[in-house]
Amino acid sequence: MAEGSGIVVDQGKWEWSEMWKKEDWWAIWIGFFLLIAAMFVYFPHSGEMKEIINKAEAKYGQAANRTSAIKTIAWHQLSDAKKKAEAKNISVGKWLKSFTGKTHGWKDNPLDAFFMSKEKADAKADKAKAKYVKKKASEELAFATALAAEKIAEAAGFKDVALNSSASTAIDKWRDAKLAAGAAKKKTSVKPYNQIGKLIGLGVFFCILFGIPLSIMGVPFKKFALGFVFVYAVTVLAWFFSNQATMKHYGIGYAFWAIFIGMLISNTVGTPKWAMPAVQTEYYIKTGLVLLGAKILFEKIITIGTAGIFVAWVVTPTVWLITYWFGQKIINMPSKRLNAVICSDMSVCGVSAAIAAASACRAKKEELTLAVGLSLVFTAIMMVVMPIVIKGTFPVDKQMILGGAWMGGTIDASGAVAAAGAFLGEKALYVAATIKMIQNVLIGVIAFFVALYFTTKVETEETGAKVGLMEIWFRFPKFVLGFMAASIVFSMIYTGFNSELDGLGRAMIDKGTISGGSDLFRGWFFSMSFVSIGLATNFRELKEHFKGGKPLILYVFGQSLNLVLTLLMAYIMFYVVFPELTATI
Amino acid sequence: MVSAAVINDSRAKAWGKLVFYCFLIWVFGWIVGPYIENNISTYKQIVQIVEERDIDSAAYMYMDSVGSYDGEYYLTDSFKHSKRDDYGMTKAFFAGILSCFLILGFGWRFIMK
Repeated sequence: MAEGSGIVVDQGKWEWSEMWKKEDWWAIWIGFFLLIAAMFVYFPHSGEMKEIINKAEAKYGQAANRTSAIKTIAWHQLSDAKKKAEAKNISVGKWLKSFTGKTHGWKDNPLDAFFMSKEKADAKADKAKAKYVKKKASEELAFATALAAEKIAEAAGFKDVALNSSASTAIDKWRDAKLAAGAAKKKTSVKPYNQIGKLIGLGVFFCILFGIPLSIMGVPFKKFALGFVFVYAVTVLAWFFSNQATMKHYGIGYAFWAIFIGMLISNTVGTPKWAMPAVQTEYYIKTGLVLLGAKILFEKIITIGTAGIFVAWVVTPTVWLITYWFGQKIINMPSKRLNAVICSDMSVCGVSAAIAAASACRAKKEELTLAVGLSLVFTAIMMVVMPIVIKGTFPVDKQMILGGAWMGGTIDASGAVAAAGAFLGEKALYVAATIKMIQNVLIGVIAFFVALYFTTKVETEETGAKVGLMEIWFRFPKFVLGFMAASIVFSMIYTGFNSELDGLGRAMIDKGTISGGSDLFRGWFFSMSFVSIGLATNFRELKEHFKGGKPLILYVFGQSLNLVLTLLMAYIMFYVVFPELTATI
Repeated sequence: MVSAAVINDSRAKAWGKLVFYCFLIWVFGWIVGPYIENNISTYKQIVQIVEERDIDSAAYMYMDSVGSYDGEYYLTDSFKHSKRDDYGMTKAFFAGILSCFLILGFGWRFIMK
């Protein structure tokens, strides 16, 4: 590991001892340890989940399937009832969520991030209850209207197009009201909390989880533990700021705060020397990436059909390659790695793709920082501008699907996609978020492609040495294999559950092992890596990489191309090639 | 003695910078940010939706965003419900996946030389 140079290098001949001496392998071991532990926690509860799904089918199934002309109220009720099957809701899952929780959301009083008394929680809940009562009343009214409209359409045997359409509109309105009431209800269940003890406990757990392998790799545990106190404290601070209400509204998340606070410290008062043994950027990132692999589930790419796959899987690699070519041939980007990382975050899915690509091509910390920074700035802008443009220029009947697909394919971060989609309406939110999800699955493909390209072509060019198959194996970043393995294994398990019972994959994997297990740790690991990046980044070096504004030119070119191609492809696929399928959404 | 004074002075400057940047964060979070939210109507609406729907607009991955799960569920069930034969593992769908790999292969051969 060459932490000082900012690049992680695996060189030399293959030795079995690498498997316990290299951080790439330890990232795989730690990642799989957590995944297997989560499977042990949740998998024994598949019977309970099956029961919930079967009960829902028994209650609403027949009514839901009485017509395929419209999505009836019963169809939505069936969907809602099946969604309640979530393995993470078992008591151990709830405890795990609470133990690994970050700082809480807060607005004016910073103490709310860590502690809330019973009196304050009760007062907050009471305030929320008043709002909920209003929303609930609106929902009930919308439900009555929807029910009446559906009955009229049903009386005509669901064969009258106009009656079906007015029933669908009324049902959609009820769904919107229900969503709002559901969110309001959530806010009425405010409970008192004290996160301080849990944060300390979690810090101790992380210290042991990363410290013991590091001691095997040669870093004394005591030195790591001392430094980790500092790194972990800054990480908590990053979550503290990212959960502040205004910051949340602007989509300024933990990645920004972790890098920003880290850089602020390193470029003003300086990172304490004793903290440096715990500044292990690559180690934390790679472990987080192995966990990320488990949620790259291939079955999800089918969700929005062929139109979606063309928007997400054809436009994205096209934009990636053309932008990379533009960077190399037209504006002569000095660093191929920075070029590849910017291409990945801009065309795939922002920060997470940047992390994966940067680790796969062994980019410098400053290069990752720069790419992430660009992505965050443009995400914040596009999140606001795109819905306005869509509302102002798109025909009304195309705003939801076309607009949603356009935003999902171009805005970098999933959260911003959801916010911008919700601005247009429920359908736009669903289409946008789903297109983004399919694009997320592409991270694995792109990371593997980038790793292979840099191992076999770029590094060969840099060293002037010809590489054989064994040399490729020596140089290949091994954690990518862990990432791919996690993705393949969990995709198979997910499909297996779904073929056993429709919806069981979601209950056991999405809403069990992943969101109730690996996800609880992944955010922490990525934020610790970003803190490490910040703590080891010199602002002057960062400026060097930005020379001539080339990264900005590259991003703007790529994103402009992305906007044009995504819109074109979405229009062709959703409205020219598959208009009938689109009409069923 | 002089060098100690210089060191102390530079330490004080460094801490001063740190405090100044913290002040800037406070200005954004408590003055500029809320001002924009309250005075630009689009932002105001987005903030309202983010709050009402409890959307984590700072989420980086689809799993962190509530809309992804609901959207996936809604769309899959919608297509299944419509019982159309042009949804699912069709030839066109596989053509889309194949196109992705062909594009990457083309790029590998001709663009990334």
